Amino acid sequence: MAKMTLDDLKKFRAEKKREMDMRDPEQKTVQIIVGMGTSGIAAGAKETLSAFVAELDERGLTNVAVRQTGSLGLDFAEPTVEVVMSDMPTVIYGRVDAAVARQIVQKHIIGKVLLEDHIYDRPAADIVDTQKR
Amino acid sequence: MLYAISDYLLDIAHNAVQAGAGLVELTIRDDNRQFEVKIHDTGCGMDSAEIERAKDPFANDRSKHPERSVGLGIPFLIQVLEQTGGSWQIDSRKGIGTTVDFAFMRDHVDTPPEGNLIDAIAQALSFDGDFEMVVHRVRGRRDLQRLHEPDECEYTVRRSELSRALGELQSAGSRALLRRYITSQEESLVDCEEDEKWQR
Repeated sequence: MAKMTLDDLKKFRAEKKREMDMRDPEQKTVQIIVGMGTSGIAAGAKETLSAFVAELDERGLTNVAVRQTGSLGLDFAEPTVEVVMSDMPTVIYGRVDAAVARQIVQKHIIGKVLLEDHIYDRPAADIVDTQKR
Repeated sequence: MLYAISDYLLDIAHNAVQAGAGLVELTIRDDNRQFEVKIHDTGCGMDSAEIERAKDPFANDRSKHPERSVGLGIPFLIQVLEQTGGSWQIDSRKGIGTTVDFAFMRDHVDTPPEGNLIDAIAQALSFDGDFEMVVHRVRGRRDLQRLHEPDECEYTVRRSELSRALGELQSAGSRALLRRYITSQEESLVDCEEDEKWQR
């Protein structure tokens, strides 16, 4: 890859923006929040975040916000990820490796279906209970 | 323990951001002998008692999680460095800021792998908040005091410039481009000649 300059970056951004604007404006309200405390990083949150970015970018969902925060408080289930979007309950997923991150994009964000095996917090208590058993 | 040097780098950089720094300077220099990182921030800083607590895995100011009393970032870093012949230093002044320096030795069998440095740099630049981050990256033996002449064995990126070029640093589209940008900078790095003035 040739060394990019800031001007190249601006140019690529303008191209991407044109693509984005033609797509679903709903994307702007989707947020993926990755817990990046010490325990999150130790469990591979860096790779998880990169997998989200790659999958979203490949699928043209470039407007989705991917944010980094400290620990979400569920250190036993790192890497943990909160997904916030309209039409879906806000969910904290746990044990999200790169493969699960890609599934979250495909099923939760695009398909609007929960990944029940990885839910650790927020939705109805019975769903969380099911997966503890 | 964290898995890779890049993971420690990202974790300590996050501390700097969380300290409320207006400016975080991250200097990363590696050669065939060592991998050296310096993280300087203008955040809240610590007094000497607080520095001691930061080194203690079972001490925590509980500001992040009220019910948790461990803080493992700095203790993990110190432990792995001490076990692998590396070195570290924490200088901090209350109200002024903190500088954390560490160097991993490449020739120790238990030194962690470098890990994914591109992701670590891109993600350090993308934490939420209103702060400037300057990343100086140097390949080869070169005095860190002489970073003013840019050439092919180093590069510098600034969060403010990236943020202006990309509009923001949070959308998946911006992050994918930022990652590409850092990748291209890393791939263009050339190992510097031995610098005679670089003596440890």
